[in-house]
Amino acid sequence: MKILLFDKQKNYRLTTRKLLSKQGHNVLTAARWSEALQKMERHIIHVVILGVQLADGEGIAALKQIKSRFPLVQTIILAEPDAIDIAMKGLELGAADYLIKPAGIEEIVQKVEESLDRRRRLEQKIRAAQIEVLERQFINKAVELNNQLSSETISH
Amino acid sequence: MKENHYTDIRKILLTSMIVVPLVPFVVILGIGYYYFTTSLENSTITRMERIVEDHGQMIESFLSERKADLDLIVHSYTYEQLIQPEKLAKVFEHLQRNSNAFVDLGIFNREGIHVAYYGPFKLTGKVYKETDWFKNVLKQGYYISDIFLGYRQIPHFIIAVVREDAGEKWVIRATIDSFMFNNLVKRVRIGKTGEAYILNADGILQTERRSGGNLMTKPPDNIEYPAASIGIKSFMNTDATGEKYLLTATWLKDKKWLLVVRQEKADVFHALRAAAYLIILIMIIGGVAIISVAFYLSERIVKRMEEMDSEKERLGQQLIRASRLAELGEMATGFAHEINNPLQIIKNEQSLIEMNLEELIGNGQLKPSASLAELEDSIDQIKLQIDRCANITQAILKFGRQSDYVSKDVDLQAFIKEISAMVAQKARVHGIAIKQAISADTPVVHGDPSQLQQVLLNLFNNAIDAIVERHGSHGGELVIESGPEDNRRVKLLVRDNGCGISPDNLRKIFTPFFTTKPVGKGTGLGLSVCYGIIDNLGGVMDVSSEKGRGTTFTIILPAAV
Repeated sequence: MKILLFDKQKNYRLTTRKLLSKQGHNVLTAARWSEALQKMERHIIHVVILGVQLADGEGIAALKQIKSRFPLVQTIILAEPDAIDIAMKGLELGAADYLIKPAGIEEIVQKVEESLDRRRRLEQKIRAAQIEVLERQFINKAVELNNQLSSETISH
Repeated sequence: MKENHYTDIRKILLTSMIVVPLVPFVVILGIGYYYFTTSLENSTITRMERIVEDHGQMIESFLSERKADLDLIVHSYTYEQLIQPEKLAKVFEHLQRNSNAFVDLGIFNREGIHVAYYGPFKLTGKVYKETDWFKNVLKQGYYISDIFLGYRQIPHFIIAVVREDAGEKWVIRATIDSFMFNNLVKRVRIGKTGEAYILNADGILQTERRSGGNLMTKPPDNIEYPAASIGIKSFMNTDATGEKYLLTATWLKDKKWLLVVRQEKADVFHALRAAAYLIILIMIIGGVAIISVAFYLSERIVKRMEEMDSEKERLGQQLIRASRLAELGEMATGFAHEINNPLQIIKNEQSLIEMNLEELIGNGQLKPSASLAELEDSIDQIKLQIDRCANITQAILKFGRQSDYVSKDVDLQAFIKEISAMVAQKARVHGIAIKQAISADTPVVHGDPSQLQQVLLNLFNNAIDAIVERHGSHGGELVIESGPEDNRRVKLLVRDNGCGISPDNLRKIFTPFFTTKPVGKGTGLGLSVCYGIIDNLGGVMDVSSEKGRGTTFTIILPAAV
């Protein structure tokens, strides 16, 4: 399970990464949006922690891009206390959850784990659905083959 | 300075309000007085002149009639006829029928010998050749004397006429009692002191004068009379006693007599004095009225101005307060942002330290010791203080971003009850009685319920703190009132009988970060946030307090449309 931490403050990225690593999470960090996008293309990212600031159009734009390109990625918005409206907007746009700075590590871990669970459940659902589809295809194929076989037997 | 300003305005107003009406007022009265004086003087003078003219003519005609009587006699009778006493008596009787002013009648020959006489005295035979009158009559042909007392000690004058008959001159002379004549002049009466009299060319009185001055004497008043001239003269003069007179005079009898009509000036202007008193009275009453009206009006105007100015000042202060709050909010938000980010990092670092420490303890690298315990305490303390800072920054940032709120209709009646229920437990613990006076017609307001809740809870909690500070755990009273206010507004009151607020603190009460609570107990943002919330809702929040008596917070909100 991989987490991508996107925030403009270097110290924050480093410490949070260390803390999350100690909790057993694999964390990548990005300081710029282009860097984050690059990392998302190269690695399979499960959760993105997205630091946004007030009047930060970039945060909302990034969220939209994540949602369109990586629909399964769970996004947690990390908002300034006065940027709650941005967090709300993010939720409307499909973000999984939000945090208000300064957020304690316990809080972050909790939200991350919730998101990972959600991601896992989603993946399971998808897999189950895929298996069902495969099964149905297999049965259809089997029935088809069976029919073919029986028709051939009749003709002989 | 402010007081001076109003004093100056009051002075200017007062001066202009007094001077502007008073000047025309006085001028009008002055002009009225002047014209009245002039016309009164003119009419008085005209009247006096008419009297002089009439009486002058009467006297002149009296004299010329008497002279004509004598002329008639000398032309009707001869000298010889007239020197016969019986004839003379007859003629005299005839003459007296015509005018009873005649006292006697005498005939004189050329030598001035009194040839015949009819009258009460025995004058026959007396010689008059050397007397002035005889000389004059011969020279002029007739003579009218001044008034004199003569042998008889009765005021009289004589008229003599010459008749020339065949080269022989003779003279007829009549004595005329001036009594009638005297009365004629004396009868003139104008006002109290107006009188008429006749003087001869030497200034000797020819008639009696009512105001004193006997016949044939020179009056003591030393008045200078106009030199002999034609026509009527009017003039003002002062007599020896200083009394002013208005005089009118005309010369009679070939400029030998002067007819004078005079009246004391004070008497002439008696009516004028009455008018003057009236004018002064009007002036005093009018002046007093103008001055008192000016005082009253200027007082009212200045008072009204003061009220308006203080109202303006109050509004200005409110505006300044509001804008200062907005500025402070902005500044505080900036600070909070700057602090919040490092705070986030500190918080993370603290977590990291804590985690590493736990690891070190967990794997036995750090043995439990007093220093370790202290270290752990320090870390806990750091965490606590970070949270405190975080609370402050979050409060500030919320305060700066009050525009994001859910807006809905709030039924204050139910709402207030709900909120007071939230503090009821706390109030009960401190022995505080919560009294609610929620009017049933309290209008519904429009706003964010959570913000309104924040405001009310803040006020209730502050009130409870204040009550506890003053009363301890019994005797507290917290009153919540609500009701409709004019202009479609709602009024909310939160009143406590707590410790009150000093005037100094009262001024700063809505200022962010202003708190009287001990460090760590309050952020100093509660009331400023409340103020901001109410302001955002288009309302007004105010406070009044008396140290040691209690505090009342008033909130006025617009009712929902």
